[in-house]
Amino acid sequence: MEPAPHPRSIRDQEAGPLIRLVLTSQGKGAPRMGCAEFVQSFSDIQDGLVPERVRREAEAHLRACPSCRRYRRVVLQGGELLRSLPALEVPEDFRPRLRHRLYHVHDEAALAEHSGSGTSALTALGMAVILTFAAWSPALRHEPPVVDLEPIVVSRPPVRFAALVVRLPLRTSRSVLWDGSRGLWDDAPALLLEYSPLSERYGRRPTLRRAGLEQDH
Amino acid sequence: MTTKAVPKTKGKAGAGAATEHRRRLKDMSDSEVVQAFLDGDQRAFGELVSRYDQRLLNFVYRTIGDRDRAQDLVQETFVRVYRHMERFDQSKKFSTWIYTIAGNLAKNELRNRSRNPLVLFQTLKKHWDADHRPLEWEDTQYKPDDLFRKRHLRELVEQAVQQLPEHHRIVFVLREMEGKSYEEIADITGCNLGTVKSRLNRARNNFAGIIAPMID
Repeated sequence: MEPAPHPRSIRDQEAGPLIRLVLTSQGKGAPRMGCAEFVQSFSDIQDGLVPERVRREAEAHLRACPSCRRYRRVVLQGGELLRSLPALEVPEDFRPRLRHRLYHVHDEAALAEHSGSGTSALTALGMAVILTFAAWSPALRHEPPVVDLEPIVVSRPPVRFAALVVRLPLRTSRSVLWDGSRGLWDDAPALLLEYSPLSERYGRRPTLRRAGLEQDH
Repeated sequence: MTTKAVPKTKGKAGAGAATEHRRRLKDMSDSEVVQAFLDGDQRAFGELVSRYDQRLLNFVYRTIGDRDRAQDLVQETFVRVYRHMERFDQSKKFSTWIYTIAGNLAKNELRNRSRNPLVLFQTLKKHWDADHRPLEWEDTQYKPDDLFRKRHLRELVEQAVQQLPEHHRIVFVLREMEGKSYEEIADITGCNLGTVKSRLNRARNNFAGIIAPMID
């Protein structure tokens, strides 16, 4: 069974619209606040930082304006959602790491105390001078040594020893006796021999023949 | 800074004394704990850390949006407090001072990010895959689609805060989430009261504009 409503509250409920009608007819209590003013003053109104008169005007405006009612609802609901967000938990390693950092704060303070006013600066300057001197020192320069060699005088082609009579494998079957009097570029086979890999130039066959190990492959 | 160690006693008596000491510290106000630390009680600083670590972590995280970096900045905050506690004006509130240090570090972080787009990209990319949010018990009274909508809405609201301009975001977080007064916010941010009110109002307007379609 619901409790009986308070007589005074009944009287107020019945008198409320009447009072408003009287006040409106007298030019008082009419909502003077517009939407722009309401939005601009919203924070102060919401946080209770405005005079009573302004608060009443704001309430009157809210009763009359669905847009501003919606605005208020959105802001308040958004704030509630924000506050309902789960708070970040401090990780387990946070405090051990912090203790480690604070431990070294004392080390830094001690270093700063013992470094003195100009000792470190002078030391750094001295090292810079030494390093600069060392860098420009002739003893440390990597200049290549100058060696004077006797000039090579060439008046005739170099003497070439007669090559072994080799059979050029794979490429040609004819034997070549290398004639040193001819220029290398004049003789294509000789050129080929000269620039062939050693495995072909000094072919196995002559070696094997001399050793008596040649086998027919 | 010279500090005197609290004398330790061994065994059960020592453990009991330490527990009793910690209990006394918990009952002290911030200013009393600060004074105890300045008098040489190292455990007093631990009490300050336990009071403010989570609050600062959430404040800095909501401001810069990066959980790992927020931990670094909160650690740096405590290191600075430890170094400069002797310079703290004990006529002021300790919470205002520590929040000021944390807020300045957060602002510097945001300023540095704006100069280095790569840092910002890495920050955005960091949590694309992993769900970094802590586990929470589901409310069995809600239907699954309600739970999904509620969780989705929370994510959107969280993102909406990150979309606010930086100087609005700090004021908004301090007011809406930390519950700081206008005067405290003015002290923390170094702005006058009128600026704080103006920024808070604009932050709320922006916030409402972003989340209105989601809530409706």
